[in-house]
Amino acid sequence: MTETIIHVKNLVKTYQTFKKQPGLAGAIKSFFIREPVAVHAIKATSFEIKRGEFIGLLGPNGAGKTTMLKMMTGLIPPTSGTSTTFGRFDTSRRPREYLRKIGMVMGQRNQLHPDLPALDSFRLSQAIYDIPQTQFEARLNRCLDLFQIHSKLNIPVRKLSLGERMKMELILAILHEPEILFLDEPTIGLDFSAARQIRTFLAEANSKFKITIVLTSHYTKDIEELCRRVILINHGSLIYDGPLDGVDERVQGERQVVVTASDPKSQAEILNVIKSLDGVTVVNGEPSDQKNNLPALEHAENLTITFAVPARLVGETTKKLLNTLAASDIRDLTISERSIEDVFSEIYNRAEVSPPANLNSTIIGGSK
Amino acid sequence: MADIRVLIRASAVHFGQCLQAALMYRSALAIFVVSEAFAYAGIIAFWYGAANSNPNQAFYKPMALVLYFCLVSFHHGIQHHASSRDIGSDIRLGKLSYSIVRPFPFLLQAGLRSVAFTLTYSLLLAPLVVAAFIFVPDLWTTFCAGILPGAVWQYPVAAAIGLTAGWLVRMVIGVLAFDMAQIWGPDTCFIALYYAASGSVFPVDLLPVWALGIVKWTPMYYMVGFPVLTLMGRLNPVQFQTEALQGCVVVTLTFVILALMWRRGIKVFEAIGI
Repeated sequence: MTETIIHVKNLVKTYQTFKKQPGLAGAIKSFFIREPVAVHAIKATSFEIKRGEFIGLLGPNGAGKTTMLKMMTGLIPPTSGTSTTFGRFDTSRRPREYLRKIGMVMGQRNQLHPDLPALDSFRLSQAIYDIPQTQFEARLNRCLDLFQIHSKLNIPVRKLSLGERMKMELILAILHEPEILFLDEPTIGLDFSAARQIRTFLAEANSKFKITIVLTSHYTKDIEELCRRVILINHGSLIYDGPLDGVDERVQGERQVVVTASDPKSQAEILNVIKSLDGVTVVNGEPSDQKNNLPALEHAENLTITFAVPARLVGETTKKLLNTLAASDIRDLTISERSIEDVFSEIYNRAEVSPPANLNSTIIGGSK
Repeated sequence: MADIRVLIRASAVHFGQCLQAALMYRSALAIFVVSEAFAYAGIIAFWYGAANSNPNQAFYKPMALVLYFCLVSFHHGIQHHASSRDIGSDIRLGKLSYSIVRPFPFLLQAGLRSVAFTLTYSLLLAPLVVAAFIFVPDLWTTFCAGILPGAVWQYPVAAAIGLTAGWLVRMVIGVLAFDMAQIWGPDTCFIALYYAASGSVFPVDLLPVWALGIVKWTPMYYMVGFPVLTLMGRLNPVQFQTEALQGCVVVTLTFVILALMWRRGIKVFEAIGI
């Protein structure tokens, strides 16, 4: 049986911030009197991660995933609850033995010294983690081979491209062979090629070196290629914890239909018809979704309605739709498989998801 | 024991890298040193004039000027490059994060960084000191004559107290960033007090006796005034022992305050900026 390596129990994080009224008067007022506001970044959340897993921690901006990651590493203390690793380390206390077993990469932060070549930072890491010279060289060469960046080793970090820097950051994070690697958006801002190399590197780190990896990312490609299990967070609440296949099943089982109306009047009619159909979920196209108030011809995307329909009903649904409406009402109609991005988006909006019954998933009601 | 060996080795590597990083900014440091040299020339002229115009003060020999110059340089080096603002920005902007999750104490890193910058700074000032010896008449003979053989041991003790107190106070101010959006307010207050009470812009023993009595209750006096007066041989053995003891108390208290502030602050750290 695989050992549980991270045990998060009822973890809560509440920040205190201040409300400021707009303008100079507000600034003067808040100089003397500040109205405190509590921000519930993470509501009571529990889950476990087993050794060797590759977990995707996902959620929209401000969902609380980075806060969760920070608490799991021990970077910030929780307001309440516990995060325990290896069955004995309370991460908020950051015991030295625990710190030796973890690595961390933040896509928007530098661990490498910007003025010095990456090799110098690697040497410091060697000293801190007491890595014997032969092992150090072997590990470094193995990592450099994977990324093919030997020639960049002696160039000051600030002169490296974003992709090269991120590769060096990853090497630095795993040089001491951590048992858990925490990654906060490691592919942010990278081009396709660099992102792919990093994904390959991470997949190897997970499979060959048996490193448990917790990843946050906004790029679905990262998630689809790397993570076998995902934890979705929205508004500080855990809304889905289960295999990516569980989310993917929705992708496979549903089709996305995009209808472009001829004019706003037709759009309203189409919307009414769609709503009357069985098994249909309107994803986009409600009046509240419309952008601006521009004339229809200047903003054709205002006239599109997107809805999801179970794959088995797609023929019947489109037939009903076309039979009910006049041909002149519809300018265009496309049917496609739903992307995982759409499904995530829908899940975030609903803040809950029903998992497949045969999968051992955890679902917790969202905050909406 | 193995942990201490690792810590010492990592500290040595980190210190070497801080020196390397400091030396990467050659032109900036050179310009800085030249501009500081002009500032010091003004301060020394003022100090020299003030000392000679005060009938109660003995004449300050050129040797004292050089010692004063070197010691205050150390402190200005710390002030400009080291501790409080760097620590403050590390804390407020989330740069502290990586240091927290690796087994190498952040405050040790910050201390080593400031020592490295200060050392770089003083090394760059060395040519100016050499020039002073070459061009100031009789400086060499007065310098050597000013050293008291029986009090040589007091010099490193006084300098160590002065530098340690200086670093610790700057770190305490930096650590305020756990609770404040900006530490420039306390930092500015500190600099004002530092100028007034440390003896960095005028000989502190020019102050009236009652004012000197007050100043000796502040950590600023032990940062510059005490070591400079010791180096100039202006403290008798009893005064030196008393003030050295008081300096040690200041260092210990500041260290305890820093440790408590750090321990409390790290519990409320929000890693802003990530």
